Amino acid sequence: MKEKLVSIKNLSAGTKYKQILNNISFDIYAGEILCLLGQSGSGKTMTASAILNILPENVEKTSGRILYGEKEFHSGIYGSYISSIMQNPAACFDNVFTMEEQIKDILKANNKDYSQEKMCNILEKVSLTNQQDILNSYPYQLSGGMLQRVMIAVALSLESRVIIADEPTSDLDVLGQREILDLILKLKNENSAVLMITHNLSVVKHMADRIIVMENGSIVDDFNKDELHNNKRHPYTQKLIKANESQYINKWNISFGEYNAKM
Amino acid sequence: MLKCENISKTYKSGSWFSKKKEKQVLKNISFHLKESRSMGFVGRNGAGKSTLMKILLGLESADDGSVIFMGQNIHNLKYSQRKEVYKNMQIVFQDPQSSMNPNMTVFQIICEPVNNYYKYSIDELRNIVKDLLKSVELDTNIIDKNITMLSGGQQQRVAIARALAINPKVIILDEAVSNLDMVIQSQILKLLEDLKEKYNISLLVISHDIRVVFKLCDDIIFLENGEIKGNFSIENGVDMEHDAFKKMLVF
Amino acid sequence: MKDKKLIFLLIMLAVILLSAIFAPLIAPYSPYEIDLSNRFAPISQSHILGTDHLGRDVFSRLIYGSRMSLISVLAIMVIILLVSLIIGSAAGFLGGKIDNVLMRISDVMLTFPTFILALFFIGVLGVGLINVIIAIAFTHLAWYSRIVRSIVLETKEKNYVLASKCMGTPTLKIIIKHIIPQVLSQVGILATLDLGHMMLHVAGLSFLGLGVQAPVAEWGVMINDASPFIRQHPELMIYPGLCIFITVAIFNSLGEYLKDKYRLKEDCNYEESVREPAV
Repeated sequence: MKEKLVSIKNLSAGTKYKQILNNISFDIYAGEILCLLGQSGSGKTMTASAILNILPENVEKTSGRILYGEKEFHSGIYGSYISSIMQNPAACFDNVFTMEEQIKDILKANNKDYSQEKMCNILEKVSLTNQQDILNSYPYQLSGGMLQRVMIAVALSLESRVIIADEPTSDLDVLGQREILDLILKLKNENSAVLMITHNLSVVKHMADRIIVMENGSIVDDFNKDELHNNKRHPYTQKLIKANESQYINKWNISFGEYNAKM
Repeated sequence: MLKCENISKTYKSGSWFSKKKEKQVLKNISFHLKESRSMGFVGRNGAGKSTLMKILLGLESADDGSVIFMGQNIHNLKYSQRKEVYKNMQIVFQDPQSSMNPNMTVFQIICEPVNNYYKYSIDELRNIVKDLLKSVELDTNIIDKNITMLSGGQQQRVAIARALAINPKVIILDEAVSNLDMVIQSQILKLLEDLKEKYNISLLVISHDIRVVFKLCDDIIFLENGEIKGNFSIENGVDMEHDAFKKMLVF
Repeated sequence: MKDKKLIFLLIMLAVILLSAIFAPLIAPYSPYEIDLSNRFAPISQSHILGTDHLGRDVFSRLIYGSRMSLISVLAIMVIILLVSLIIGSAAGFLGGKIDNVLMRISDVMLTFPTFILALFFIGVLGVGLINVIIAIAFTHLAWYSRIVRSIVLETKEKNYVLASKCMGTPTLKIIIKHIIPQVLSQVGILATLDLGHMMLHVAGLSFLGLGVQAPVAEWGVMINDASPFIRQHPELMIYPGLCIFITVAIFNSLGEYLKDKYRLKEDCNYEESVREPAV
C-alpha cells in the first residue's frame, strides 16, 4: 500500500447562504498525479483552498477533518510538506522586487541553499535559459509562461511532498499549456504527489493517474486512468467525456486522435 | 467580402528620453474572406492575432496596407462614417465580463446596437431581445437581470446575442470560448455552428486552440510572429506534416 | 432593517436638511433680531440655547446657519463636479496636446496648498460668500479633474467601450452611457467624503472674516463673533462648533459607508451568480 500524504474525511464547507463542499472524502497517495475534474462552480478550487487552509473569509468549514500524513494542520507544513502552483502567476509575485529577491526569500524561509548558482540551477531544471537575466528582472517583465515556470521551479526546489496545482495552465495558449504540463509530469516521483485541478479532460488524459470528478460540491466519481472509457462511469463523467470528444469532431475529416496516438 | 492586402504594423515604444524600441507585430498579411465562408486564425499568444482583429475593425490604424470591406476601405472612413460597416461586422470578445458594462441589464446590453440603427418602441424591443435570447438558448426571464448576476457561459451567450442583434454578415470571435470551461465551451461551439447555418453568417475566428478553428471554419491561416506561415482550405484539406500545423497540434 | 448605520445616517442628514429648508418655521425668532437688553441670556424656556452678545437667539441662528453652510457646500460640489467632468473627460478622451496642456495646468495648481490658494483668490476677488465658493471650487478643481481623467482613461480602454464602438454607437453617446456613469459612481463617493472637508473650509474662511459677512447667520461667523467672549461664555463657540462637527462627521461616515458598499458589490457577485446548468 502506498503512503497516504493527505487524507480528507467528510469535509463540508459553505457560506451562510450556500453549501459549497458537500461531504468530501479522498486521499492523496505518494507517487501519483491526482486530477480533480469539474466544471467551474463545482468546488474544485474550494477543496484546494481547504487543503491549503486558505479558505476565503466568508467560507466556513462546517465538518470534517484533513490529515497531513499522521498530523492535523499546523503552519509548519507549508513549503516542506505542501506547496502550490496558482492559476495566475502574475498575481503571485510582487512587482516591486526582483525575481532573485523573491525566490531567495522563499528558499531562506524553508532553510534551503539560496546561493546564486543554486538558484540558476533551479531555473535550469524547468528549461529556462538566461537564468541570470531572469533573476535580475521584475515579474512584470516576464511572460505568463515564464512566471509559471519559475513558480514550478520554486515548488520543485522546496521538495514538498504534495504539490497543489490549481488550473496552472488556463491563462496560457495551448503550446504554453503543453510545456507546463510536461514540466509537471517531470515533477512526478515516487516520493511526492501532485493534485491537479482542471476543467479540461484533454489535460486529464495527458497527465492523470487517478481522476476524481466533482459536481456541485460533491464527488461523483473516483477512478484510475485506464478506467476512463468504462461503461460503469457515472453519467456526469460520461457527459464530460462526450463534451470533450465533440471538440475533436469537425467537417475537415481530420482525426486528431490518431495524431495524438502517434506522439 | 472582406479583403486585406499587405497589412503591416509596427509598435513603437519609449518616451522622449529613453531609446526608442520598435516591434513589428504584423508583416504583410493578406487574405480574402468570401461570402458565406468562415475563416480562422491560429497562433500563439503574441503572434499578432489581436492586433490584426483591431485593425480589421478600424480600432487601430495599420502602417501599411488596406482593409476593404464590402467595397469600402475602412481606414479611409471617419468614425462617424463607419456605421454601415459596423452594421455588417460585429465582434465577440474573449472575456464576457469586461466586454459588457457591469452596470447594465441584459435588455439594455442587447438593445444598444439595435437602437443605433433602428427605431423601435419598448415593447417591440423587448420582443426582439426575447427572440434573440431564445436563439442563443437562454431563458427569457433573465432579460431584466444585471449582467453580473449571470455565469460566464451565460454572459458569453448574451455577448453573442448582442452581436447577432443587427443581423451582421461577419462576426469576429476573438478567443470567444477560450476562457470558458470545457463543457460550456463545447456548448457554445455547438451554438455557433447552428447560428452560422441559421443566419448565414461568416465567422472570423481568432484562437490559439486548433480544435475550435477546425470546428467552425472553412479556411484556416496559421500566424507566427506576425507572419502567415500556413494557409489551408477545406477543399484542399490539411497537410498533416506541415510545420505550422504540427506545432499547434498539442492535445 | 439590515443597514441600521445607513438609516441612522440618513435620518440625521434628513434632520439637518429639513431644518435648513424649513428654517423659518422651526426657528422661534428671527436670527437678526437684536435685543440689547437681553445679552448673554442663559438657557431658558424662551431661548433654548440662550442669546449671544447682541441678544440674538442662538438656536435660531444655528438653524439659519445650516442653510448657509449646506448651500455653499452643495454649490461648491456642483461646480467642481460639472467643471471637472468636462475638463477630465476632455483630457482623458481627446488625449494628445489638449490632455498635456490641461494636466500641466492642474499640476501647477496642485503644487499650492488649497487653503493658501483660496486665501489668494479671495484676496484678488474680494470677500463675500460667492467669492469663497468660487475660490474653494477653483482650488479643488485640479484634484478632481485628475481623478476624472484617470477614470476616463481606464474606462476608455475597457472592452465594453471598444464593443460599443464596434456597434457604431456615436462617441457622445458612448461618453454619456458608458463613461460618465462609471466616473460618477466613483467620484460621487469621493465627493461625499469631501463634503465635510469643504464645509470646514467655508467655516474656516468665514471665521477669518473672509467669507460670509457678520450679521448673516453662519456657523463660522458665529464662532468668530463669539471669540472675544471665550472666557465668559465659551458655550457660544461650542454650539456652532458642535454643529460643524456633527455635520462633517455625518458626511464623512456616509462617504465611508458608500465606499465600503461599492467595494463589496464587486465581491458578492460570487455569491449571487447563478450556476451553469449541466449539459
